[in-house]
Amino acid sequence: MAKLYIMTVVAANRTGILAALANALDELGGNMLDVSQAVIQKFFAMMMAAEFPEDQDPEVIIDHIRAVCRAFGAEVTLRDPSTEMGFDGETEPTPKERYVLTLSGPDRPGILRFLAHRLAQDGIDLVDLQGRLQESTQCFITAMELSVPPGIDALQLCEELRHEFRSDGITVSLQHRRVIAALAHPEPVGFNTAGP
Amino acid sequence: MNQRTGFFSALQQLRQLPLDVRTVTLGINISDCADRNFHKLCDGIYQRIVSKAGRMNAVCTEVASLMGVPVLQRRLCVTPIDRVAQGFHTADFINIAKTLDGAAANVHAERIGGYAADVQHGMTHSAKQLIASLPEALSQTERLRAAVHVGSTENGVNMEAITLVANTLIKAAEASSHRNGDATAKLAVLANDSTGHPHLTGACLGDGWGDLVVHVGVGAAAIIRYALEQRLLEHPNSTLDELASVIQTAVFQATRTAELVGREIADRLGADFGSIDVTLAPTHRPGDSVVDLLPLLGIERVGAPGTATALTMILSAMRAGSAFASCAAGAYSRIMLSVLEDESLAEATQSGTLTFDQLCLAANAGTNGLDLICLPGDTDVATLSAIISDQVSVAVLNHRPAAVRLILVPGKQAGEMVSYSGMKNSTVILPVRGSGLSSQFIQRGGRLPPTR
Repeated sequence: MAKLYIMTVVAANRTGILAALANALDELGGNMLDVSQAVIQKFFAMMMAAEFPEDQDPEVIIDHIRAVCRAFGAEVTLRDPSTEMGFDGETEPTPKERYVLTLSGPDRPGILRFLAHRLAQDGIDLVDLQGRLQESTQCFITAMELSVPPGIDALQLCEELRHEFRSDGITVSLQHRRVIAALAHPEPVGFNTAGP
Repeated sequence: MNQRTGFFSALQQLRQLPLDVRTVTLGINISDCADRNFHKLCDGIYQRIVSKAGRMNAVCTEVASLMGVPVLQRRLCVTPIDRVAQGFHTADFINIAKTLDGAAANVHAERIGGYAADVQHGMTHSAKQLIASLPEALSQTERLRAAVHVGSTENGVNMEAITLVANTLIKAAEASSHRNGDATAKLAVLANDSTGHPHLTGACLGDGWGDLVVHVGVGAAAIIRYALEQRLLEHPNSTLDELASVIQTAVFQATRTAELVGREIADRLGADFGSIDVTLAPTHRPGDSVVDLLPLLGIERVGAPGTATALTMILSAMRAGSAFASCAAGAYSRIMLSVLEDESLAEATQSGTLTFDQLCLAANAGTNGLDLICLPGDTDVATLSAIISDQVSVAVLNHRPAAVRLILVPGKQAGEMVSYSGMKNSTVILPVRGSGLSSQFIQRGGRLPPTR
């Protein structure tokens, strides 16, 4: 039997960090199920869902990864989802539509705060977020993937956000994931855009 | 950190693209509504339209909201009425026109086409009655659009039908003289429309389609303008082939979006997905005109030498982009110089930089005939017929569809301004050079033989 853990690793971003991490996992009999990785400034960050043998002690997992990745100053956290509190217990989530929201323009404080509050009002989940500040122009562009419950009018939401940010010179666009797929891939529409 | 990743670069290109669907046209087969009993016929047509298109408006709104892509116009088209209403008289046809208009109003469609007759060889009794009903039918309805198909490459041109339509235009102008002859704007003379071009004004559900079919139209001017502006901002000295590539890409994106939206609407209505029309017809947005693309390419104003070359380049790139985007696109791509609907064109005609002759010439450079051009109310039948036959014969020779919509303005002369309810622009009435000099030619009648 395998046991599922949620693990984060933050380390110095140098060549070999991923190889070291993969070695450590292999030696522990671990298996990655879902993973997301980012490099921000000079740091490597990875979050993953991984299975380990049931009899593997969590302290041993953490210590072994730290030891193998010592050269990179890795910090490791491990959480057991079966014992975590704070989830809503939703077992069969309502089907939701996926959109990509992009904002770009002059950097100013409070944009993310306003957005997060506004999206939460409509029960919209922010499932992915990436952003960049262009140092030469002090302009930022941020893109976020949204999981939107049924009944939300995307045109209206986009118009509302445009209106909110217009005076700051920030441009907003909200596009359905299927529209982006249709524009990004040369296959016939329907081949790659059939499902939400 | 200020180096963009591919992901962000792609998003940078996608954001702010002015994507929309200009028209959604639902084609409805009403062939089996034909009945010798007039009331049963009208009732059958009305019920069929309401039952099939009743959800169209709501579905278009739902899909527009879901996809975040506005749908600007919702239209209907039905089987040609001259086939469905055989054996009836002029007064009956007027009532059928009102039935179609009422059904379109019921389902909140902005236009309904199909009040049409095919007379490329000769005229059936019902085609004659339909054409005779046009002045009253068009002046007493709001949403109805009519069409008369007068010629094709395979069958030649019916010149007598053209003269009859020209006469009808004059009568329609008189019947709506209190509204500056607006009924004439609702009548299109078509060529090479044997299969029912679903995107031409007044066009019907032609042969070869199913019982219920969704066609979508894309107004590509805005997205092309945006793409050209972005390109020229970064590369102001781009060559024409580079700009053609930019146009292709922009049209590809517009076409893909339209297909996605169209297929979703078709699915929800239980209809087939038909075709995509990529056009440079104007929309309600300012600057959404082919005329506004020309300065970006280096033609300072429409009508200057080089206009035809630029239009040809745009059309060619549009066709390439739309054909690659979708199997359902490409065949109908065209440029529409709809003077009355296009603010920039209206200004150009008003300032004299764009003349009637230049508009006729543009028809040879990829435009789709003459569209919504205002002519003096005293233009004679022979001159009108000759203007129409010039456009039709060129289209027939070049194996391409054409539509001619001329507006006769009763009581007004060339150079006077005219405006219409529901149209955002005023426009000037254009003079026709050589008016009255073609009478003998037109009076000969008969038919132009097919193009070999």
